[in-house]
Amino acid sequence: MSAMSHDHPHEHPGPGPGDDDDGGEPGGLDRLSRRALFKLAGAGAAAAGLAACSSRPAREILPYAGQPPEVTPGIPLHYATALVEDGFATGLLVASREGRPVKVEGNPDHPASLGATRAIDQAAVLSLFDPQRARAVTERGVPAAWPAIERMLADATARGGAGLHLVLEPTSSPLVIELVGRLRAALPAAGVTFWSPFTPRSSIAGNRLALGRPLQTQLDFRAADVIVALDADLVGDHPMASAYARQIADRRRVVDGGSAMNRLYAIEAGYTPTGVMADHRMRVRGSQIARIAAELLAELQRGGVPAPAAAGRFAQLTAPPDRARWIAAIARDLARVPGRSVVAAGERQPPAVHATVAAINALLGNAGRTVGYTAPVVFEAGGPSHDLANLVRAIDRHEGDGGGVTTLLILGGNPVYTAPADLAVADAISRVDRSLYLGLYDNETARACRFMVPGLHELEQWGAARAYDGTITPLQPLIEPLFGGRGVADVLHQLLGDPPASPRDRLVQAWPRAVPGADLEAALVRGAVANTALPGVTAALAWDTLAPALAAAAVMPAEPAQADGGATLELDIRPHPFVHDGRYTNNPWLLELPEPTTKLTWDNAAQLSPATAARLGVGDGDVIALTIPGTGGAASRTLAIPAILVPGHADGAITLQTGFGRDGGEDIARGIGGNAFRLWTTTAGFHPAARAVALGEHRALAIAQVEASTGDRPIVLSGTLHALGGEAFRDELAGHRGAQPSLYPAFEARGPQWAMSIDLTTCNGCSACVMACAAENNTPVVGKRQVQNRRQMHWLRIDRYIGRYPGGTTGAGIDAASDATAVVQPMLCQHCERAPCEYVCPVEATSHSPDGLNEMTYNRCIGTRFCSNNCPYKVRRFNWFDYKDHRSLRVLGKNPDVTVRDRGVMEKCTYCVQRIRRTEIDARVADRPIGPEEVQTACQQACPTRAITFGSLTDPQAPVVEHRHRPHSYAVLHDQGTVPRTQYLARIRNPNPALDGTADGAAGDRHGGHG
Amino acid sequence: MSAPAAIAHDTDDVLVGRPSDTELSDQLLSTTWRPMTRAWKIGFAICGLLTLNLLVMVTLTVLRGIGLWGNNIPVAWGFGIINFVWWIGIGHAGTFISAILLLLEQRWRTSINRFTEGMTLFAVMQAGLFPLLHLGRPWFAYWLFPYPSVMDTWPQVRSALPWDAAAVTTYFSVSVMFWYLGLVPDLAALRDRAPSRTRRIIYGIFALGWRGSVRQWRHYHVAYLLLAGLATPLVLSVHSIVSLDFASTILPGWHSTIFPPFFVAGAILSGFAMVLILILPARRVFGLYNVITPRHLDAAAKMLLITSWIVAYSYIAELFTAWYSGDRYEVYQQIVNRPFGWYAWAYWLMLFCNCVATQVFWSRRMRRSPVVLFAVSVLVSIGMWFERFEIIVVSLSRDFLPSSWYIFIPTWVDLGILAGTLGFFGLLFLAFLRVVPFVPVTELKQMRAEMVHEEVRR
Repeated sequence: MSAMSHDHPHEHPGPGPGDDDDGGEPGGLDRLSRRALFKLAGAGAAAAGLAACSSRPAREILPYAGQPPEVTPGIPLHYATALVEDGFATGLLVASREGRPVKVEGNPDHPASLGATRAIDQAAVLSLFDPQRARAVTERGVPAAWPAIERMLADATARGGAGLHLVLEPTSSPLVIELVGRLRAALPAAGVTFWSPFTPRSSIAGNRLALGRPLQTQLDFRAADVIVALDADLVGDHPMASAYARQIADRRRVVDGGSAMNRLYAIEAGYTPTGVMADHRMRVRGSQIARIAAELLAELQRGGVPAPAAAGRFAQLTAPPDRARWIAAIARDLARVPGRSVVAAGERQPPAVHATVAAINALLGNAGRTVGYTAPVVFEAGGPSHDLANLVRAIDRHEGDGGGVTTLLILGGNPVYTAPADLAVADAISRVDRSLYLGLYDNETARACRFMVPGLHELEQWGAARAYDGTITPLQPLIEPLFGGRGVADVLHQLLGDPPASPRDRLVQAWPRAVPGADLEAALVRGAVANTALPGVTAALAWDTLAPALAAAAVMPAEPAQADGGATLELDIRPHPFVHDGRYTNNPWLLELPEPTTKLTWDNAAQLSPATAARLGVGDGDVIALTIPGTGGAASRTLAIPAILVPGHADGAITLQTGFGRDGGEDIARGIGGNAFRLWTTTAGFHPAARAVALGEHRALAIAQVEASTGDRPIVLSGTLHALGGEAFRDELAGHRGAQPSLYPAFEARGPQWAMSIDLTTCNGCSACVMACAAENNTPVVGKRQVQNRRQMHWLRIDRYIGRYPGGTTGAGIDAASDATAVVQPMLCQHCERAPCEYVCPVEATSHSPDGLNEMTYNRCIGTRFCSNNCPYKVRRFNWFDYKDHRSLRVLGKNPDVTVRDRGVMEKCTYCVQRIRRTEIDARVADRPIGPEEVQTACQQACPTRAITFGSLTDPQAPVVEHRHRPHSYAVLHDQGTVPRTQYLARIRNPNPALDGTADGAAGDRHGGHG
Repeated sequence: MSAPAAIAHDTDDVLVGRPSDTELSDQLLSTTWRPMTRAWKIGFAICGLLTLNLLVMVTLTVLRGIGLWGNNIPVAWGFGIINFVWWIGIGHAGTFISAILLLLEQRWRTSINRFTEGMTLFAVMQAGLFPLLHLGRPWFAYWLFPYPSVMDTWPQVRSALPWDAAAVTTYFSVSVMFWYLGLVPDLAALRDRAPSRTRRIIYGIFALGWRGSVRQWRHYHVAYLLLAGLATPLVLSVHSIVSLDFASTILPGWHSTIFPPFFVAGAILSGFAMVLILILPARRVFGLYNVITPRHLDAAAKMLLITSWIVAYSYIAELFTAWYSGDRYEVYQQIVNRPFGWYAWAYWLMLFCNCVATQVFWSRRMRRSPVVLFAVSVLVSIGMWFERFEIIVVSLSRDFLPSSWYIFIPTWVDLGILAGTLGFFGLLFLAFLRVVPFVPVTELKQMRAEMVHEEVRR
């Protein structure tokens, strides 16, 4: 509007080319026809009126005149780049609108993405445009100048690196690796440490034990019939989570009862998306995994899987009675498909577990087929340079002998916050005279250092990194650095005294050395260099190191006695699925995104099973004090944090997620939740003897879903694959779809008929779709209090219900309330053909389009909210306040195709109508029909498992039509006669008949149970 | 003025004694110029403060948005619609008494009809605030009406809300006309008798030149009867249409064909309760024992008892139909959620107030005891408010998908607006007591004449 008001027609007084009614009269105000004069006067008045509606800009706005040749206003351009986390790249395609990156999509050509994204990736745009990013070089919080830092770096170089120490994030970038090599050569006295709390360490050490070499495990689920995840969140928390989720899901696509499905066993403490997906889930404390892995290996040997004599007396190991049946069943299942299974262990497990798992995979013949090994992708992974203790030791040495660290450069990460608490990193840094932090935020580490230099977001960078499988992935910027930040490479080049050059030129120069034979331009276009995945390594089991590790597991007690009869609990620390190690905690989208299995927002909490909570006498939000006893003279550490009950959590254990309790300069991140790193003493993921005491306080949590039972309503239908082959279940399912009588006439259908199908078998609740929807549709964030008031604005939410299957979940010390199985269900506007919302709207603000969309006309909505009351799915969202965010930098990341809604109007899922219309226009311009899968909704595009299918019911080629004909397609609340256009494929499980009571052809599952 | 002791509790007379026209005029017209009592002044001050509070709360709501209320998703309607339905219900007694009882030739309506009509108007005014305020964008409320729009857009007539708007505005305008028409002869009497010239001029203007000619009386009676005939179906239609806001949906607890009669009965119940809450103190303060006699109280109490039973029947019918339908959502809503859910206390409170407390009126003594009547009326008013709370909040808080179930907790703005409308209602009412004769003097005189005539004939 403001632009219009300034672009008023007096600048072009003559008739323009469109003014054909003026008959080519020459221009000039004096020659104006009466008609043209009135037109101008009218337009001027209208412009003045428009100007009055909006705040007038202080200065003149310039039109978008200098248009780059490839840019057409209104048409998005996609550029391939990547996000890098813990050293691993995920390839992305980022949509740019007139120079602004607005939306992240996965790169189908990238092995870690396969076209999908994680929730974190979707939120990258908001992090880029975070107004709280560091904007200037500072010295102790006071603005400083870059030359001061140049002098400091020059001084360090002049002394040959003596007293210089660098802390980098683990890197796989060939460019940075080359620079580090040069640095070590040029400044041999300089120390380099790589630090990130959750980069793979344990698995590499475990593989060294088992295979004699530090190797990185590469899994391939495409041919895996049986998968055993030992405390491994393969589809949630793994650098390859999106790709693994896709591979696992691809083997779980049920067409009918005759489909083949893999079988997934999850053995874990806390509930993870992998546990949600699993056919069988066993809940055990993290420390028990080592013993279970050993029991599994022993059972396999007894079952006749050939093992060398070196395994020794190991075969005598048996499982305790309550899980012996499980171990035996899993072992038989694994032995049934030699070379076609995967056993995986989580990164938090100690190296011995990874070694045991490597042995199991080798004995099962999986190695080289479904389980591969490569050299570590991350530079020096598993090596001594990855130990943060080195830094502290180096600084302490300084105090002793006057040498040591005088210049400390921390380039990225946030080690002050993420360091194990027994390393007094903040103290150590404070003893260094000249310390510098390069990063995006004025965070804990920035505050501990003398200098702060604004860093670069990935979307502002030139560079390269490797994916988890080693594929070289180039990074290119979508936008100039917003705050003039500098990259890690810039600082290293400065240290090396390289002549100044643009980051792009540096990439061009370094590229031929880093990736010989690959064309940079082609790589930038594609976003990945093909065939650069690291080659597989065949390694025989190294029994001389493996045998002692196995022997140690063999003597582990099955249930380690707890010191004081259960007053101590096992503490299990894991990265938060969305804010990770705290690097994304200032991103409000990720904070408001409900955690997949607890549905907690804006917080972290001590997750514990209902039985353990009962023992402690706490409920949701009751604060407990968790204490880790001090070791070696160190003081004990305590964290007060509210509890949250998680049915299905292991008893006697508490799961804490990291990333909260931040104490830096970021306003949004600061002061929410508790800092789990304070209780993180070693790199092991769990602490066996934490003490927990209820404090008698209560801190209200913002939990996005309070009722967990479906009450046996026809909401999530599920059953076994076996049952789907039988009549009873199929008939039951058939009763949940089809025509329903109605008094109202049907809407007038014309053109394509849009519809969606969501496969509950492959959905694991990762919530990437929710974030993609928020990014695509400009849905606002409302904050913790408003979540507590139940005013979230997500158009798409993931409902999590908890029920019980016979034999579904079990664990040591079985307890009815805790032994529960979660199912998840994405819930969005169902676009009912007989929409209850439509006939109650008094002003026809919500109506049906001829192509089957339930539409909202925001301008017509007066906000009676009657439609929401009459929506049985409660998917409508109301603008209770003015959520528009016009003055923030974040407005740059908004999707210009989608209206930002005003206060007082209702909104909801549109099936991404802007994408439908764009495709329709494109197809019409090209005079061709719309392809069967051409329209992709944002949620569908982001989904790692492709659980969402979208298309037109009138197109016989469209997969959505085929989905509707599957026997397990059904409509939620079919009995209400709403005839939803969104249908679901029932959740089909593939239980092991030896463990499942329902496998003998019963009907569907019941989700009544516990609530 | 007669002392209370002079009136026997068991009188069935609708007028104690046979005061002359002059006596009646002196007694009933003088309320407009007599100095007001302390009680009136205190009441006026309190109501004025509450009205001020209402202004502040409404301003806040319009400026910031209804996020200031406790509403959420799923409970998208909260206090706003509860208060609307409650006030509209209260507004029913007036027209019921004036119009239906007039047509039924119930003499006991005469002394209290002006009073209840005033109450109706003021209650409908409170009610009318809420559909406006509860809108997300109240400045577009006029879109609910079929006006000739250049965009060719009309209200969506399958929705109950445009009908609601039409019904309420029609009811309000007919009620105003009915009330004003009835006032005209009394205004003329005031014009003739008011002590000061200013008053006489003002009342004179509003008396519309009433001279009391036979011709005028003839027109007056025809018009009054016609308006009564017009208002009668409105009494039944307004709350029936309001009930369709709920009955026409698919929500368990709303989706019910019993709602129209059930709502009308509930409305009359709450309306009579409010009449009693207002009339008992007024009767005492203004010493109206001779014109508002135990006979009136008795009749009102009987109305309470009858409508309370209709309401009780509806509650039972809701439970029965829920069980008989076998619909799992309805069964859960009516038989599990309401009696035993988060708001179980509200359900049992509602049952006690609306169905149990009224049973004292089986006793004739209780029906004539102002204290008991007042107490039960207060309970019924509370109970009827909670009935709407049950219907609206409790049903919405747990509907189809348990994933979206959530509790509604009102905010201070919600409570402030409710208190504010009570205050504004009181303020209007106290002003009404001051400005016009609240017992229809003319009608009373006419009734007395008829009664005397009958007695002479007998």
